[in-house]
Amino acid sequence: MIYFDNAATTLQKPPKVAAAVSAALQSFGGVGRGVHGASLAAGMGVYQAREAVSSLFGVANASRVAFSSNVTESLNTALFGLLDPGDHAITTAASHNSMLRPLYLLEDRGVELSIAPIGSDGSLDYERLESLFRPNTKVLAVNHASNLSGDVYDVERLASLAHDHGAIIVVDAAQSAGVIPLNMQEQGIDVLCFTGHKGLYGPQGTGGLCVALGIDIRPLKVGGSGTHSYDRAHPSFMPERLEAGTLNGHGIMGLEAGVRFVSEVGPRAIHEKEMALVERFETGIAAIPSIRVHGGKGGCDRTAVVALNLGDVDSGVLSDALNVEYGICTRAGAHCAPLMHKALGTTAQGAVRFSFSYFNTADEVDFALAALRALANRLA
Amino acid sequence: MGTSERSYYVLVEGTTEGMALYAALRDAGCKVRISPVPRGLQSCCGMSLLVKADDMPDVRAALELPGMPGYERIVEMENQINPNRDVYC
Repeated sequence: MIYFDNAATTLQKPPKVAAAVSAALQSFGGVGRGVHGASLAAGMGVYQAREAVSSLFGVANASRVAFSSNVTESLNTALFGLLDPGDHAITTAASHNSMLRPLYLLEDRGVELSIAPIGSDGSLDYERLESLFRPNTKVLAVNHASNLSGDVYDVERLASLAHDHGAIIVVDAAQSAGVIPLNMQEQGIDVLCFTGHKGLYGPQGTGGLCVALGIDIRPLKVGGSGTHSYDRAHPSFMPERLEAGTLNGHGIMGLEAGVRFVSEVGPRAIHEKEMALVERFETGIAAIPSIRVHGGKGGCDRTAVVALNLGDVDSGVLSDALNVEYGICTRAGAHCAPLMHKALGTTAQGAVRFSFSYFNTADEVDFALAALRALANRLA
Repeated sequence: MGTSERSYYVLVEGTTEGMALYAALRDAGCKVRISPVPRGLQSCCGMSLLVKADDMPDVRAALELPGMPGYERIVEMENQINPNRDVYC
């Protein structure tokens, strides 16, 4: 099997990730629950994971890193915790449903919503976006990198725009974390939402949100905290404020191992290796006239994602042929990015997404190119 | 047992703050261990840092270091634990 669906989740992980999860499964008590040896092992392990995340993303300090189960939960926490009826929010058409659906639900509850369009090449018009700000704009919620096209948007410029208009910027870094350098303090990011199982190489069921000093987010859920048990209200301090119930300590240990791998290799080096695979792939498919690539040239940078179609072949048929006949895993369909598909003109056909990781090889790319050439001859 | 009969509990706001302080104090060479908070102290957090009296001067000095995580307060108490007790099991 050749796995090119890393934008959904990375399959090949650094070996230390599984080892860390296994070790935690055999030694951890409850995180923040009691102070016996097993509990302290869990508590200190999770604290060190906060430090690793904090260091990778340039967070003010480790206590501003709250863990969640995935980026969808992180975005829900941020958006529902910041926006009230009467507030205005702005997002872009590059947003994933993990951002759009919470915003649509908030809109149903009285939050005003504007969506900045994306061009057919994947580009974002920053001046057009700025024209959407209103006096009551509270949040600019943006997808740092499109999960469909790989286009990366200038988060520093977006943060500056938000702050110029007195708004908070919430960044969905699901696709960029681990491959595009992020530094909250240097780039002016207020809330950074991430998932653990993609470019950070952690297990599924891990993620979090990093919150700048001075930004207060209402909790999405409350309950067991391990502390302040006689208080009626959930603790008000970070990160416990945004964490209720026992954390996924076992998974977080895997996430920490993944984050440390990314930090050691470096996001830039990881990105360079992945983009070399993209270049090899795109050079190859350029020689197949019936293939069209969607987006990928409109951002200030790009992640290792290539969305394509073969003639008018249904994207599901092409992806299935790649899987069944060649053992190549890609993702067809809508990719939870309805507005981005509309922008790229691929709503009806969908697109076949190839997404590469640090662990893919040039030989795998060449095999996929051979498969596409054969399928182009037969299907297109 | 002299001053070692007294213990000090460094109380913290929450477990993450406590872990941060514990790690920082250990890095500073201090002898501390994590302990449940005696309920009588009315602290809201379940954990605290327990320091023997002999080690408290070093801890107090370290708490003044720049960048050291915060804490709520320090409480002095009679030593609650006798590690040399008879064990029947």
